[in-house]
Amino acid sequence: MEAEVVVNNISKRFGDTVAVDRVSFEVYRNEVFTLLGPSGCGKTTTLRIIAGLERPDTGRIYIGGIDVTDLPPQKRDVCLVFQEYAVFPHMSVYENIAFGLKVRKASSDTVHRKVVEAAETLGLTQYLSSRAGGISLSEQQKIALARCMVVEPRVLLLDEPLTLVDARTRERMRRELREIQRKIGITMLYVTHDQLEALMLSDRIAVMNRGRLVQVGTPIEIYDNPQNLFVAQFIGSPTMNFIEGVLRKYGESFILERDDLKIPLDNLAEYYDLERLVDREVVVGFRPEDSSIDVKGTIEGSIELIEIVGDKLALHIRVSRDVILKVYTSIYEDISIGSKVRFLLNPSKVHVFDKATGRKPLLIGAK
Amino acid sequence: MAFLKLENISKKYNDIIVLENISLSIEKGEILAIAGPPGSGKTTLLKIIAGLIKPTSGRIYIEGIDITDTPPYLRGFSMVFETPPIYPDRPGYENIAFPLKLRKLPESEIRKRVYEVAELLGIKHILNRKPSTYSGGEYQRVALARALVTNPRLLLLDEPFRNLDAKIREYMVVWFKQFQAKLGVTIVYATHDPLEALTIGNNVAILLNGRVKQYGSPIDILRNPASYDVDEFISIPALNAFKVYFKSDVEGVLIHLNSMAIKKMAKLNTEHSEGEAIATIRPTDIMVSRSPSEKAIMGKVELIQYLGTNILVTIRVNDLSIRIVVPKDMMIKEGESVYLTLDPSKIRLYEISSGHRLDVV
Amino acid sequence: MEFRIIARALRYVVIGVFALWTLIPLAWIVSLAFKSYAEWRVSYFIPKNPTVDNFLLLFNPQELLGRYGVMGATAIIEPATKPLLNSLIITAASTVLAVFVGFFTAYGASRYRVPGPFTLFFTLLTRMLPPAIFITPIMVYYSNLRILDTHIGLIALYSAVTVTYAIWILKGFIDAIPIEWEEAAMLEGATPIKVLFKVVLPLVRPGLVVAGLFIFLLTWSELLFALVLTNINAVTLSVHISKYVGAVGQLFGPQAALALIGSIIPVVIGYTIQKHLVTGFTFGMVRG
Repeated sequence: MEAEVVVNNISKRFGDTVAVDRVSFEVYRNEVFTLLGPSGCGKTTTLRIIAGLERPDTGRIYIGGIDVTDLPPQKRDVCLVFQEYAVFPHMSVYENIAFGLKVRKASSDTVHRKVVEAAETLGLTQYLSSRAGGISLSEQQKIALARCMVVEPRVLLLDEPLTLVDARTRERMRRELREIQRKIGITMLYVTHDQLEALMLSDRIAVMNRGRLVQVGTPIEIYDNPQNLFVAQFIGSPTMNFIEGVLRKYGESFILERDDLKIPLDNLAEYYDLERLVDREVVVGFRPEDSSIDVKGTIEGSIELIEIVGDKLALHIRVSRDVILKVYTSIYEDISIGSKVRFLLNPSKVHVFDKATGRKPLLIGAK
Repeated sequence: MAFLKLENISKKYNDIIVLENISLSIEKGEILAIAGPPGSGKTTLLKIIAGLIKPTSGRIYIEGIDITDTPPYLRGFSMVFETPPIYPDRPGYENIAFPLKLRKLPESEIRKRVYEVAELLGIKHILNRKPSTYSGGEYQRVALARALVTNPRLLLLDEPFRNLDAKIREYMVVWFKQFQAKLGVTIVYATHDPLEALTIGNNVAILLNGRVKQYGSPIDILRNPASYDVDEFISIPALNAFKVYFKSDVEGVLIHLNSMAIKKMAKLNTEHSEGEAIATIRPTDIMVSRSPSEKAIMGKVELIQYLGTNILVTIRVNDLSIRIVVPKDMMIKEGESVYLTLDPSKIRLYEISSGHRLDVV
Repeated sequence: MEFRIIARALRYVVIGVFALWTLIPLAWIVSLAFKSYAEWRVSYFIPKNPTVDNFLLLFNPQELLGRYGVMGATAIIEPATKPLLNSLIITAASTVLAVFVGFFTAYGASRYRVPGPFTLFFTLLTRMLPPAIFITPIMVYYSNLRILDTHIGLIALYSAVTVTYAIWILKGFIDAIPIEWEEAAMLEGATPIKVLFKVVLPLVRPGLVVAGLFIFLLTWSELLFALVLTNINAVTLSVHISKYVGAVGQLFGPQAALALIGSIIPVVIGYTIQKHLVTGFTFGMVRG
């Protein structure tokens, strides 16, 4: 696959704070690549460096094989869609979309053709003659997108474009954005703090924390196989269940101990180098959907709360004095608060982290 | 006798009807959740209960006593607004103590009660700090503390967790439910998020365009929405809805969707034996498989979107686009051919003009 | 690169010219205030024999005019003490009155709808016509009411014409307070009046300071009304300053000295209350 954007070892400081710390990645042609992280993780600064709005202290940026590190934004062949709606409210939708082309002095035929085409792709045709300020926020954001599309940049940069639209529209926009991207085939570099948005939109995701890249992978890799505690905590709603405790070895079996709670981890020895962590503090995590209510389950607890999540019930099960775990079950299951249940964990989906480093003690060669 | 009872509450501003004939009741110690999209009249309804807005018609009763004309400061309720009343010019302690100082309680009593409620909510450490230093969760708890310090008869909450980050919100909702169970305070809770309402409420009222479209237990609403707009509102991800032609006979009803015919065992709540209707099925109620089977329909995967726990797949069947949620373990790919099985019992029929439910449950 | 240096140089030149433009008159007054008689009409900045005589003359004209009699003073001038006190009293009183009345009006304008065409815009009307138009009728009224040349007369007029600023400034601050903050207090047992004093008033304190400061400065330097409506008893500082050059002679030095005192007072007041402007300005909501 061809790399459209190459970010090579860039760093950026603001005074004493390191905003971006030795970040490197590549964005392939026609993929949606997302920088994901909590606020202040450096994702927006990275995007602004790629757009040319900030200069990196060190490192180089290549777009389409050309070193653009010293080029101003307008010479980089990129276009940026901002979080705030960057439309001119007093102009018509048509004039807004045509703006970039007119600035570049395109012929009026070309302008007309491209504007109409883009409006059609984005479903804006009916608004073309309306005043841009008068239409809904999500449609305004589409205008901003259309304005970028018509100038046909090599890379489209989007900085949290859906943060300000309401939840229902956001869900619809995520689908539409993905469909449009598939249809026109454009390279997109997307920035968001919303993990669900990243999972829904992206071909690949780069998770950032405190200025550093902590994991790059497809949505499914990031979700199912987080490489460190930060990614495990950040990705997924509801959050993964975590149990902190000490790893003990009795004979040949490994057990996670926390007060009176004992969780057998025998099946994990084929994935993890557990030997190395014996008698040390570890964090064990698993997602609510990777466990199931089962009379033969190895963990027992009592139901504290039943939460409705779409088509499922999330049972909050108290397994010890201070540990409550979430397990999913069907809404057609008859279960009541206070009753005792047992559940099983899917061993291939249980994650073990060294508490001190936050890393996974993987066996060499294990997935 | 119901603790709080609303009887035919309506509110009009000039000719605009904001609320129409709202009748609801709530038992002592329970949570009534009111769910509705922005602009559906939730806040107006809460303010009418609080006495901040006068209803155009209708009565409000507390334990059988008519309080419709009682001014807000004599009702003994508390309310937490979407913009919580935390005054930025004074520290947390002063904010929480504010309602008690109004009542001119002795300083020692005020101190005792503020510390009690702060302890309960886990915010003792921020009592001396100015609100500008609070995190979103702390802010919301101080607001709650201030509402609870007076031991209100009724607590009204208007989107109390709206401004919180999704992660913190998820935690706060669960925490709140447990907290309420411990305290036993009676609550009316308004939210735009149907899932939040269904999780929090003992009973839920779905408020759409100023009318209560359905009122009942969360499970009942989830399993049996009364009308199309309720079904559409509570379904996340968005519902699949198709225009169909139905024909009913003694055994059940035959649903024609394009070239497909689906048999559903149900009686219809209409005098017509055939006609057009809207059929809905939730993305979570369709099964997808890679191998063909009897009654399965073939389709092509158009788009996949990861939701974490699940994958949201858009599948094209002839000229229909159907959204389906499949488990993440099914490594589905775009362009692949798959087979769908629709469970007829999960298909719901609605009248086109009114949106009323047609199939009898 | 070279372009950047030139651009930066150009920027400093523009800033420098503008700074000089505003600072020269001020520097001139400071310089003149400390110059001796001989230097009043000379055009250099640094006085050769700096003196505080000009200041002393302000408060002890009898003695000093004896000395300076030859310098062009043609009549005895009153000490500046009384005008200074008058100005302080009149300005302070009318500022407090304007802000107080303005607060209530602003609250009403922000929270309730005024029926008919009497919008808040009308309060601006009095400020749109040149003040000179009002002067004659007001003089007639005042003379009939026998309040010409009194403190009360000036205070009433000043607060009446400045209250509109207080209303507009404070309305902005009150609009920024979510109505829910008041409603919550009402549910908690506060009557509407209590809400006003215990919730709204403390929250708009920065607004009161802004409005007060603005009106103070405006009133402090007002000349026209004071000139026409006062004579001996209620003469204000600005009127008194104007007297040093004119009928009494050409006393440039003392005039500059008094102008200096007159401008130091608002600076000191502004400086001492500026911390109230900054603290409490955190109206923004916190997000999680």
